[in-house]
Amino acid sequence: MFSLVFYPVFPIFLPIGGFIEKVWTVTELTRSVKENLEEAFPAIWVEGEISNYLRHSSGHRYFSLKDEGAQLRGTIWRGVGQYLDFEPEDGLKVHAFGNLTVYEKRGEYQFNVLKLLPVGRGALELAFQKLKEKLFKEGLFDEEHKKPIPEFPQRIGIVTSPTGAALQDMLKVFQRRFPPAELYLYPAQVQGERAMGEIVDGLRAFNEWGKAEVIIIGRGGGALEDLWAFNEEKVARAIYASRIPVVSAVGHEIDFTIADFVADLRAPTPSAAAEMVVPDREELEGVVSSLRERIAGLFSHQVEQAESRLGAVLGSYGLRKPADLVTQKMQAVDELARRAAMALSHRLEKSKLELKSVAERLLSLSPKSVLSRGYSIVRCLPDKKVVREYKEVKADDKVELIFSNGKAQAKIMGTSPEGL
Amino acid sequence: MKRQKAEAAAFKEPKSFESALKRLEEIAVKLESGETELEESLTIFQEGMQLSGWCQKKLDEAQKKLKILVRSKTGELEVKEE
Repeated sequence: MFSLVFYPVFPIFLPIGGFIEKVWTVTELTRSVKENLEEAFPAIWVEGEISNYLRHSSGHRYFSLKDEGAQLRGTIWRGVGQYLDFEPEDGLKVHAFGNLTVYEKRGEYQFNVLKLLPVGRGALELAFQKLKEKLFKEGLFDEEHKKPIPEFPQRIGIVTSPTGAALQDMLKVFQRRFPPAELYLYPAQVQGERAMGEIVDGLRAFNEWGKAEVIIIGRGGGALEDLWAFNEEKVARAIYASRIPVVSAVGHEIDFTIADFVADLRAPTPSAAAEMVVPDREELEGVVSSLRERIAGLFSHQVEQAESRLGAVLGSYGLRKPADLVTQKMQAVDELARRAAMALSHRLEKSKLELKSVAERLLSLSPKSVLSRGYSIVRCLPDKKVVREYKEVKADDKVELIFSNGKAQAKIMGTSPEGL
Repeated sequence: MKRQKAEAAAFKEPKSFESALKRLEEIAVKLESGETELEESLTIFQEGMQLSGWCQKKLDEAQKKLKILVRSKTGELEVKEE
């Protein structure tokens, strides 16, 4: 960009015919060079890449500025160094402001830096660090401000480019994992001049609309410059101001942006954001079908119990009540049992899920499950005939009691018609 | 038979998948408590079967089309089909 061309302007004395008119001392010459140089280049900007950077314990910094064609020695004295925004490093491209001077002791000219600015990527990185620090101090990254992401968002807002790969990636994941989600896109440019404004507008629009339960902002990978909109302070503040939780999904795994730090959740990529925001369909199917089985099982269990209660009512209690009450109860229970059975079989037929196991449970009201609930079977000995009513036994008869997990032998002490 | 039909028709579409799952959970807990009368159990059992059927149907659905949220010239927000 800027080449240092040096034109000799001091007097030249040539030895003519062996006669020497003036002999300079080294010091004189060097001083003259120094004076002329300092006058010719009093305050200039130089662009170059830093190399051989050395920070001396004295606080002074020594380095070279170089480009493809040349090198220039440079110094930053302690007094200037302490006001630098950043610590330079080898390879960093900079704009250096200062003046040219000569270090007489070594007869070297060098550039005395008074101000240093990173250029290109370096400048962006510096801006990134400064903003990150500022927002961190303000508390924009604090955990306590992070809003939880809803477990099953019904409406998902997306702020990204309508033509980008990020959107397509997310749509694919949403389709695979959680079709019930409704997706709303606020089209925004994600790089270039308009990106910052449009991303901010998108965040505000979803907050104003109020129906989305979570917002994803993002884009695919790119150079630091391409992702820059997500490092803008306005975007950070819009994320912070959002009442709706915001997920940032910018670039690849390794790309971190300011948006990532402020967002309620940072996803390494847009696809990952989609995965993190919605539940997994297969998992959900498992949850639904296990709830379904649990409900059917519990209900069939209750039906069984009602049936045994019906047996008890008919067998004993009713004998002491008006006949008509018995009939009514019987009918009511019968009716319920019939409706229950009908409801069950109706659902069973229609069910796509594995209700087979439930059906099996219902159909095989295994005596064992009844026994485990506290009932037992009484059989006469020695013929092992099941005793269904008190009249079938009399005092001193030997009987066998069958429990769910064993048997007992007993002797009848007496009988009476009283029931439960 | 008539009454059962009326009950089936009374099935209210859940607000969201989440609320459907929550209600299923509630039904299971209620039945587990053993405190519901058979009549009530039947009703919530039927509700549970309908809800879980609805959930499955939702999961099998094709993805809804992407909708676009845009701001009109007058500053109003509108939702457009893609």
